[in-house]
Formats: sequence, C-alpha cells, structure tokens
Amino acid sequence: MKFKTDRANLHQAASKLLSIVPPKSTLPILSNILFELEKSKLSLKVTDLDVSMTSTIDVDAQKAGAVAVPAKVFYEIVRELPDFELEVSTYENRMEIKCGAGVYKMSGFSPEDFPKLPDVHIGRQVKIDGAILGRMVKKVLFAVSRDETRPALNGVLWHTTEEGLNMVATDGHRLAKVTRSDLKISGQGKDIIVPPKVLDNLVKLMGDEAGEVGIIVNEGSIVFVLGNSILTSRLLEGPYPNYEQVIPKDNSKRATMDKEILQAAVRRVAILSNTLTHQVKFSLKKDELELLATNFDFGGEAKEILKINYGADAMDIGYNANYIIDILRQTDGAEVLFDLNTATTAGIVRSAERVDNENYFFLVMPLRLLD
Amino acid sequence: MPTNHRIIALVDMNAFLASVEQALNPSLRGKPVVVGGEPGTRGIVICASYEARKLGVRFGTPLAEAYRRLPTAAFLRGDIKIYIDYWRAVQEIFGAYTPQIEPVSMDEGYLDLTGSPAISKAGCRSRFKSVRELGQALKDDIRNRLDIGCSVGISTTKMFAKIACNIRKPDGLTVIGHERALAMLPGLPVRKLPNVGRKIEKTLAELGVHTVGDLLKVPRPVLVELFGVRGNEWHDYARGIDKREVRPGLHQKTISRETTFNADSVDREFLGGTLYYLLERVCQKLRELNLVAGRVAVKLRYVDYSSVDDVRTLDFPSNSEGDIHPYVTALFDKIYTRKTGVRHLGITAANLTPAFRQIQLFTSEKSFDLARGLDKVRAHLGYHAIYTGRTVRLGDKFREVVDGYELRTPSLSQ
Repeated sequence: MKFKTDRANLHQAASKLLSIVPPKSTLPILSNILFELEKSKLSLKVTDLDVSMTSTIDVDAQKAGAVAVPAKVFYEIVRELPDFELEVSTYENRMEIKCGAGVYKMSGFSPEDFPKLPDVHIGRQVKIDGAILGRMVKKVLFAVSRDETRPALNGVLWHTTEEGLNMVATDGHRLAKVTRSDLKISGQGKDIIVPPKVLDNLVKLMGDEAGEVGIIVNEGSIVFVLGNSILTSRLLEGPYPNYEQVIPKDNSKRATMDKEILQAAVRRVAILSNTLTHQVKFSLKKDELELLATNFDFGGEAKEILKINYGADAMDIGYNANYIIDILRQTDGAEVLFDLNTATTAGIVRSAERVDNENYFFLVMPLRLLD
Repeated sequence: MPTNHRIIALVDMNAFLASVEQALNPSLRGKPVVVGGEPGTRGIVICASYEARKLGVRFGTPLAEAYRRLPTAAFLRGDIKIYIDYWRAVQEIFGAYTPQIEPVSMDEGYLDLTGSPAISKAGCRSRFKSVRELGQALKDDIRNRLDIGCSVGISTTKMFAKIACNIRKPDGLTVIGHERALAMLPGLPVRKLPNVGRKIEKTLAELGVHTVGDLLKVPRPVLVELFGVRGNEWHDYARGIDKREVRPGLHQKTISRETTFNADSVDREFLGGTLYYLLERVCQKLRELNLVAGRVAVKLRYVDYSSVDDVRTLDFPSNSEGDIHPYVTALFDKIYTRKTGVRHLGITAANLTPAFRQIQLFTSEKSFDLARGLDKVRAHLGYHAIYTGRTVRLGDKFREVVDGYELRTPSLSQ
C-alpha cells in the first residue's frame, strides 16, 4: 500500500474513529485501525465488535493494499506532524509515514487478522434530517440504564407508531420520551433498541453540521451513513418493557416554574444533600416551592424558597437531585411544568414551550422520604 | 502524650462470648470453653476461650475437630440475646468516658477520648492523672460490673490504637505515644496495617514487601496501580498517617446470616429456599435498623470444607428481599459450580447506609409493602407465624422455634 495525502485529511478521519476503539480489550486487534486502499479511496475501519465505523477519504493512491496499525499511536503521529503532505507506505505489515524530513515507522497486523465488518448496502437507506435526529437522541440518551441485569434497558427504544417516530429511554427511575410526528423510518414493522454508544458517536460525528443522515435497519443491526462515514451497530434484544403502562394519565397537580431559577437552586441545594441518595425534598405550597437538603455527615442543611405557580394541595416529595438536573438540562424554554399526583408516584416534567411536530416529556420517580 | 494529637482507644473484649459464659457460670472459669454447638453436631467454633485457644481451637475450627483436641472443654450452643445484652452494657460503660464510640463488631469498639471530660487538660481538673490511669479505670469498670476482661490499646490514631491493643492480650493495657508508635511502625509486618488481609499480605510478599519498612520504599503510584484506592491509603498508613475518624452511629458495617446443614445437600430447591430464608432474615434486620445495603455477598462451603464466595454491588441500595433476590440467585449460580454437597450457606449485606428508597417505574412497591407487612405480623406473633412459599418447606430440614427456623450458627445468626 502506498499513497499521498494532506496531514489534515488523515488526522480528521482518524480522530472521528478514535472513540469507537475500545480502551481495553481482550482482543488486541481491536485497538487497531484497518487501512484499505483501493483505487483512490482509502477506508479507515475500527470496531469493538458491537459498534463499527468506516471513514473513507480520497487520496493520491500509488499502490493498493491493506494493513492494521495501532489506532492511538497512529492518531498521535498524524496529530503532531506539521501540515505537509504525507507519504504513507507499507511493507510486510509495517507502516511508514514520511513528512518532510521526518520518517515514522510502526508495526501493525495483517488485514486478515482484523474482524470482518458487515457489508453495507447503502442503496436501501432512508434519509432523515440529521439535526432533528440529533435533537431527539440527545433528549433521551441520559436516561439509558447502565444496569446490566436488564439488558433491554441499556438502549434507546425506537418505536414507530401512527404518531410518528418515538424514542424512549429509561433506567427504571426516570424515563424520557420524544416523538416526531413528521418522521417515520420505513421498513419499521417492529421496535428496535439502539445501544447508546453508537448514538453517542452519531451525535459527536454530526457535530453542529446538520446534514442528512441515511439509516438502514437490518435484522439485528442498524447503519448510519453520514457523508463519508458509515457507523454500524448491533441492536439490543428485547422485549422492551411496556413503558406506556407506567406513564400516569391522571397527574392533575400542576406546578409551573422558571426553569433557570429552579435548575440553579436544585444545583446549589444538592451540594448539601446526602452523598448517596442526593435527596432533595420538594415542599409544594400555594405558589411556593421549598427545596430542602440535609447531610448528616457534616451537619449540612440547605434551604431555598422559590416563587412558583401552584394551586393544588400542599405536598412533600423527595427526588434525587441529579435526576432533576439531568431532566432540566434537556428541557427547552423558560418555563417547566411538573404534573404530579402523589409523593410516591411518577411525576411528569415537560417544557411549557411547544415545537411543531415534536412532543417530549420526562418521567421521574420520587424517593420515599424518611419518616 | 502531646495534646495536639487525638487520643483514641481500641477496646477488644477478649474471647467475648466465652467470657460472658464464664461470667454467667463461675464453674467454667479457668476452663476451656467453646461456643458454637454441641460436640456431636456439625458447625464451627464461634468463640473459644483463651484456655481453649492454647490448644489450637479457635474461631472457624469445625466442632468435631475441636472435640478431638479438647474433649474436656465445655461445649455450649450460646445465646445471641444474652451476648447482645452484655455488649450493650459494655457500650454503656464506654459512654461514661466519651460519647464518641464506634463499635466495630460485637466485641470491639473504638473510643475517641480527645477532649473527653475524663482526660486532664492544662488548667482543668480531671479524675485521672494520665491516659494510662484512664485506661485502667475503663478496664476496672468493665471487670467490676460485668466480670469480664478486655484488652485496651490507647494511642493517637485508630491504626496505632489497634496495634497497641494487640500487644498485650488477653486483659492487657498498652499506651503508646505518637513518636513511639511512629518509631515502631517500620519494624512491624504489613499485616498490621488496616485492610491488609492474608491475600494482600501474600501479594506484597511476592513483591518482597514483608514489613511496613519495606512498604515505605514502594512509591505511591506503584501502590495505586496495584491496589487502587487502598494502595493510596497504605502509602499513608505506612507513614503513620491515618485520618480515619471514630464515627459514632456507624454501628453496623455488615449484616450476615448463615447456617450449617445437618446433612449436606445438593438439592437446588432446598439450597435456594435456604438462601431466600437467609435473605429474608438479613432484610428484616436491615429494615429493623432502618438501613439499606449497597452490596450483597453469598458464601458457600462444600462438604470438603473448601469454600467459595462472591459479591455484587446492587444497582440501587435496598432492604427489600424482592429487590436483592435476583442478585443473590445470580451469585449462587455463579459460585455453585461443583457437583458436590453443600454444608454451609451464608449471605452478607454490606455498604450499609441509612434507609432511603428510590421508587421504581417497572417494579411495583407491592413486594416492599408486603415485606413491611410481614415484619409487623412477625413482630406480634413470632417469625414462625408466617412463611413465604419459598421457605415453607424448609421445616422438613430445620428445627422450628418461635423465632423461625433455627439456624446452625446460633451465636452469629438470629
């Protein structure tokens, strides 16, 4: 293999791939980037066996070939090199990078040792607006469970209904759901559960550029096509729990609050909350919310009183402050609505602001307050 | 002792259970006493008096083996309720010296005597002229009121107090000033440092580290790489830095329930039922103390005495058997790999913190409410008034008393 290209071109391609490379793996080959050069197309491929990514760039090719070299070392070299043209060549699984008067060599592996990535037929893709997709994913990603005893919850449920495309994530303590009525992924007869790693990388890859994203759903896997990059991931196996059943229908006690003020107050009060439970007590009275946290370890006590809009019965509810902070971070607009029922049942949090074709809300379960 | 250091005592009730038995029955005094069960039965020694220890009988010795070595010893089944009463009485005596008491287990407790009215300070009058005199008074109080002995170590940190306490046993009193403790430290085996168990001792020995002095030569990053957070702590401990405070209220660090079977079993249904029963007892105790557990461990011993255990962190702390049971089952399935009879099963709940409860979306609160309801029924009518389906058949194998099935390590299990 032999080619010439700009340093920036190669650096950019390698940096996109790096977050897929597993930090520690029992399979050493997975710490490598596979380079494949064919005609003028150079493909860089990485995989952790669940998520794979391919970036293709145009280079000045001189000789076709393939090799796998350590991803981190390669990335660091192209990051540090000056902005000149690079000449990259391989000889018996050794890669040599020439840049000006500098020569860098490293040993790699035969391309045959690298796991074969699934073939992607990009003809079947459904194109959707990347900005909308990214916005949906961000709204729910924080709620994905890390609990390995319930693997189905370790992903985001994509659930296409008559309402449109729904994305749902929950860890059993809180739940996030976002619906786009103008989005449908055709060929979606059934639900899929997408692991957070691929979605996290997808959001990163899209950055601020809102282009189109192509999506292909296969049996057991999903493919995202973004410009010159292709991300694939294994899908998680269901069944996903019947989340609709736990969404309360009769939460009639509504509190309307200023989001920024609430967010800042919860963050402050939480400093003195119990370090394990992060419990903050929400005491609701007529048009008033008192936040209270205590920490016995250092005799800490914090209290804030906020002016809110609330007309229902007075009520004390305990929440994990982190759950509230996470939710408020994903809530747009100036005002946030809490629809509550009792101190031991799910509360619904949503923005007072409406966006066309979009609907999202969060469920949060309380902490049982100590007597 | 310079006043700018803390004054910390460790009181160790030597062979506590056996001492209580000797106090209750003076004819046993000076004779070997073994608490754990009658010699013909299965099970292990829970506590051996110092007279028995001289002949190699100690905690964990199988009862049969103990009987072979010491046929003349008094073998007693023991009564946890009496021991708890005695331990409360001991703590009451501690309370006369300082409110800062941290019981470590049911026979050992740290006392922070710094600033205690019992300690003399410049310009203040005190009952005692020296720390040693105070230590002696504490020992005398326990001896006079309860007729049992203890070893007391007094120094400037928890670590030094423990080292001091171990110097003279049983019935010792050792006071070590800060400078002297620092001077002693390098010569001591690493095992004397907090949290250094046999496994760690072995790992360190393979690295050529046998004494605290050897450990001083190991750079902090190496220890952290090898042992994580604990390596960092050992680096400090080796230099005499021990910032652990005496924390009152942290009475219970773990709660365990275990049992030895009358006959070895390979019956998974029976073993599973027993596990559930042990878990119920652990959870009942957690709820009674208003605590939740963050980790759970399962231990089993095969018929050939080889034992295996494993531990898992719960995804959220709990004191409900409904929440913890899946973890216990998974742990048991993981460690029970041999097709050999099991003679002993145990469950330990650890990382205990004051109770709180995160309500779940998909798990109904019914199992938690049910457990609390059962607690109430059992508080009135005895544990045996109501059993769950999983445990009801255990009656075929265990003796039943008002307090539920009788477990076969009566001194430790309730």
